[in-house]
Amino acid sequence: MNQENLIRGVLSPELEGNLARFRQILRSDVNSDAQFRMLECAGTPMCAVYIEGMADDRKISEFVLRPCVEHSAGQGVSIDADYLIRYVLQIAQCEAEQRLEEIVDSVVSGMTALLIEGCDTCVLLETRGYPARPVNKTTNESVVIGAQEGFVESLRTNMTLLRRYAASPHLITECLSVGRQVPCRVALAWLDGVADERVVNALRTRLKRIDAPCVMGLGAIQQHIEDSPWSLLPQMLQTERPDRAAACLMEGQVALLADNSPCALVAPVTLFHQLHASDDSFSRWQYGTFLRLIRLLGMLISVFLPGMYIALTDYHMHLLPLSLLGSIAEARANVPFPILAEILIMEFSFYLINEAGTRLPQQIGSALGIVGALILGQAAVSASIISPILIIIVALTGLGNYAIPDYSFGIGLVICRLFVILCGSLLGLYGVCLAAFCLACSLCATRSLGCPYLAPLAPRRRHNPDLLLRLPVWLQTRPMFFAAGNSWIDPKGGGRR
Amino acid sequence: MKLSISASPARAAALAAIAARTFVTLTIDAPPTHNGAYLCPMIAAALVLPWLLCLRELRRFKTGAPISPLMAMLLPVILLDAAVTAVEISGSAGYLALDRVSTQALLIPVGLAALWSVSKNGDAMGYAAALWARLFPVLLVLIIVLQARRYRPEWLQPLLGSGGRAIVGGGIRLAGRLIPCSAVLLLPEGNEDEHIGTTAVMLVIAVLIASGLILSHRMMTPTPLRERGWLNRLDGLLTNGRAPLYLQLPMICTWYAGLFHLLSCECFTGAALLQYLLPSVDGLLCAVAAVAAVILAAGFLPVFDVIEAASGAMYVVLAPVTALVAIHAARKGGISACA
Repeated sequence: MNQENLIRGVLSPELEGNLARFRQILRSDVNSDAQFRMLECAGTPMCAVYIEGMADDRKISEFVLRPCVEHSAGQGVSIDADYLIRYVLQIAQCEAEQRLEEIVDSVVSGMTALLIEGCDTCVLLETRGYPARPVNKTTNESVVIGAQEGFVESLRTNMTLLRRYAASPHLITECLSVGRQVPCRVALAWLDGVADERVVNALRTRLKRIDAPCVMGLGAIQQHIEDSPWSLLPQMLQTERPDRAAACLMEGQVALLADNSPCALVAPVTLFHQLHASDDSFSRWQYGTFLRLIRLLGMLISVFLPGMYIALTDYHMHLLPLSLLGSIAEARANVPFPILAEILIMEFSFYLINEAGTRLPQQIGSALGIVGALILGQAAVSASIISPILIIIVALTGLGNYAIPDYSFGIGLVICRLFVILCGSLLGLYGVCLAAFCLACSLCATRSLGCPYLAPLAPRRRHNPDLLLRLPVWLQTRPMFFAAGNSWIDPKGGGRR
Repeated sequence: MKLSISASPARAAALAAIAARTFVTLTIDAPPTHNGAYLCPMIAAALVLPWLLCLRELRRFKTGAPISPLMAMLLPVILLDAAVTAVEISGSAGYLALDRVSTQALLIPVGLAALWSVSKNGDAMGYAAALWARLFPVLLVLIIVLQARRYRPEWLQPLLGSGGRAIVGGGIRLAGRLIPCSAVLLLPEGNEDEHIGTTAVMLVIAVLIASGLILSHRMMTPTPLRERGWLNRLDGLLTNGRAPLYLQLPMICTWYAGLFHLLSCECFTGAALLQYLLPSVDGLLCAVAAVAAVILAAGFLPVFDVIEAASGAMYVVLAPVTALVAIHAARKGGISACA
């Protein structure tokens, strides 16, 4: 019998038969961490099945084994799962279960199954106790002011963190499992009455439709459920901050958490959500607005500046002021390469240093940045491989890109930038405009869980004035356009006037 | 794939297309009205509005038979006008920087961009136009601010330019040119959500945008009156002689972006009409066919001359035919077609 057939079905009343099936499923002959602990409770044979390391030994011995062994039942009492839960076991979370697949999934995730002789139902006990990283400061989404803690790899901890920031009875966390062979536990979180039911249903349906043998974390899940997998820009937001995820829930978005993923996936989002940072909501509205405009400018610089530079210097010299043209010509006098080659060399060098710096330990990474920026750049200019003005262009471009809070969105923009550079180098301003037109059409066609990616700009939608800019908080009374109609946010406003 | 568009993006696409077509027609394609050119859009708007309202009514009877001949009649006109737009784009690209590249070669990226836009379907195309319509006022203000010191209002004298007759003639020709680029309003399904005034407001906004640009252009260095060369007029538009050239950058971006939206709107309309006439053909195939027809016509036919000669007749013929079809459809279809 193969593994898939073995795992189907329900438990039988015979303990030995059940144990034989479990030994076969968990391959106990080779798997040394699959544990089968035989015991007796008031004369009834039982077996605790768990995975060593995933389950907490102390919990099992103190709150499962000892109470069972020491328990003495009265005459004529039959020991079954219900009896054990009611009178014997001293673990808060336990439930009766008879489906084999559920039991195996629970055991491999760290729970303990207590199989009982003569009973076709076992008790599943919450004994998960594997080593996990404690809640710590975020690494990629650092903020100047505001909460500092970030998600960790444990789904349970992440759900707790989310609940702490959105402590409301309306918060719903629905647990699902995706992946056929190696299931990954995910939790769908939303605020009832705030999130649109259609959005929640769409996400649930897409999750259930995933037909992959294994799904490694939220990154893979995102690729399975996105509206346009061919689009360069992500249509969901990944955040490692529970406060940000909770803020998204309050705006009517849906968050997805997964085991072993120290972040949350938020949808639906617009392009403007990708430019938000957690600091915004902690800052005064003027500062938040200013910073958002800076990020928007950074995004535009990041995508168009090198393309415009190449178009203007290669094809439209007449459009440059004479003094600037003179400086550029002087700086490029000894450079042997065409501008396109120069830009590509610099772009790839920049991202080579960036990638190497990211992969190296922090101490060496910062030294590498200095080496790359100072020594390599200076040497390249001295050797007349690139012109100094191009270093300014690439540095500005890089800074513009780093101003974008979302990492994957930033990478998407880098690819868009390469497209603009190629169009600009082939066709000049005509090419840059052509590239901008194609990108605009592409963005307008993009959807995030069915919601337009460029809304509320195109198409125009009613929205909270905390999306494009950040207006005063007492004006932020309108729900987002994707939120449910019966949102708890008072449309007339209840705050300060 | 079914090529479709909703009412709101169709309006946005029509707005961008009408504004671009008005501006281009009165500055490049047909310049004899000169100073009074900014008055032509008003006349054209008055003439085109009934046609747009007929389209609005005809949407309800799309399932009825009488509309097919009208669509068959509109299709070549739309493709021809799109070909002219493609020529204008590639011609200006060649003039500004790529003079060593053949016009045919410059048409290839235009065609690919148009195909890309149409393949994203009508809503994306329309919303991109809506995005452009929001960005456009910023560019217009920038153009005026950058050029303000170099404008010469005295160039607007005499206000009526070549005279009232020329202005009326220009208005009728412009109305003819607005027919293909506003035909996209025929495509949305139903018009229950659309107030009758919405179409008029859209038209007025488009015309005002174009008039603003034309007024700005009229105060720049004038094109020699006797010089009717296309490139000479383009030079007057894109490289205003009195201003430092870098100040023309927003104008160049406006020029290209406006024309791209005009072209994609016309290509989409052409492809959608083609699919309506041949319902069994896939939308993507219709898009390829429409764009290929446009690019081939632009590359190998004298579309410019044809459209310039026919622009006056286009309104005189197409508008009454549309009105007749609308009346016929209303009488034949009536309430039952609505249901």
